[in-house]
Amino acid sequence: MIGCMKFVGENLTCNRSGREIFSRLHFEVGSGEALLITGKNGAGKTSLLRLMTGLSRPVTGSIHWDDGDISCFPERHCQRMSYVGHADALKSVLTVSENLHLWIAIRGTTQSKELVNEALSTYGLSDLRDTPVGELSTGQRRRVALARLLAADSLMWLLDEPTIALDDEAIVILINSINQHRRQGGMAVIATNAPIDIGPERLLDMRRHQGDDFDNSF
Amino acid sequence: MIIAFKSTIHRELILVFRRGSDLCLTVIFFLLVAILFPLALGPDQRLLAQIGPGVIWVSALLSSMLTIDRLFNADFEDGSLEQLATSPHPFIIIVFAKLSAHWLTSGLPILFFSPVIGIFYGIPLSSYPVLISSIALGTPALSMIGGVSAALSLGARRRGVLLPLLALPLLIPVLIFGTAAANAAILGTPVAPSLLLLGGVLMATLAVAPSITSITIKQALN
Repeated sequence: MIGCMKFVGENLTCNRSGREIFSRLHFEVGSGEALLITGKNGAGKTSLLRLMTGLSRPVTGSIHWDDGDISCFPERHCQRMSYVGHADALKSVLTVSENLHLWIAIRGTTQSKELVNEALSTYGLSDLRDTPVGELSTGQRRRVALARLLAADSLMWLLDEPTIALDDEAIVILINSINQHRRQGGMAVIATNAPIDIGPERLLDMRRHQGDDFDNSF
Repeated sequence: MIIAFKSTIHRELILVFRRGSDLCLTVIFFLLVAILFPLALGPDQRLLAQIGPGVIWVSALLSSMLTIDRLFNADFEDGSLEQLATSPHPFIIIVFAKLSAHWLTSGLPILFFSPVIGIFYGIPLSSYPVLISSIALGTPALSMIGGVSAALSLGARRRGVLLPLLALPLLIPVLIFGTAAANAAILGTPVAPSLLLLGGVLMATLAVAPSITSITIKQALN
């Protein structure tokens, strides 16, 4: 993993179908740090995460690493980050381990059986390795989606409401793996409304960045 | 990059074979449509041999459009398309791999079964090489053009209606040159012009369709 890196967004504005969701937004995450994005429903947490993935583009401002803007080097950016969105992105006809293996193969990271097995056992999925994902419960599917992060070995994790459908045990596993990831120099950006205790973190409250028509309501 | 291409094709093929129904559906639909025509038109040998290539081509076109809807939309709905779009490779490679996989699971089986239909219709054996090469050249173009339409209709409501309306007009050139080549072979007129034009259509779609498709999908994911 790369030594000291910084992921920065400056003066970001995001529009959705002509309506301004947030503006003048800045964020910064460094190696070993976590950024917690909070805010009420519709405040733009998911929109901000999608800007960070590069799937959508900001109206103003830029998002960049130390060595360049993400829109200039999308492949390098994608290499560095893993995104777990609302949808689990799992194929129900494939088994748990097939889902992980095929995903890693397309990402092109070094195929490692041990890494996948380790990721599955961390999330308590070893016994379900050969079960089709279609037979799993919502919480178990979520665990598989999160196990992908461990198998992918990327620098930055982007998590959108990762705790939804997880039980207490799985939330502890998630927090431990985030902390482990940070100790190894990784970074995490987490959009959530659930209280999640991951030690020292940077906080980004979306409320402070909403358009003028929102300000009156506070 | 080649690894990403191979892995994506591998993934698509596993998904299609695991589901199974898609592959069978394409082949059975192709055979059924082609078999319906003689039942409706009666057993006139000369008439059947004459309309044979046209029927094979229309059936091929319809049955390859049968599964194109799922090509991107299944991944769009379960979030896999986002993951594919944020994989560290040019997205166009992954899109091209998906389009190729669609041909492997629709065009290729049709190619294998078209001689069977040819026998039903009493198409002279001497014209088989041209008929088969016209299908070999034409079906990849169907997958490419169908892919563009599937990407355009991504996430739209009433996609099932929209998709054929978008795709079928775009497929007309393939249909015209494909049947023209096979008919020319039966009548003994030169086949080269139609086959060359069909090859030209294929080259053009191979060059243009993957990039349009990947841009359109990125737009839909935005």
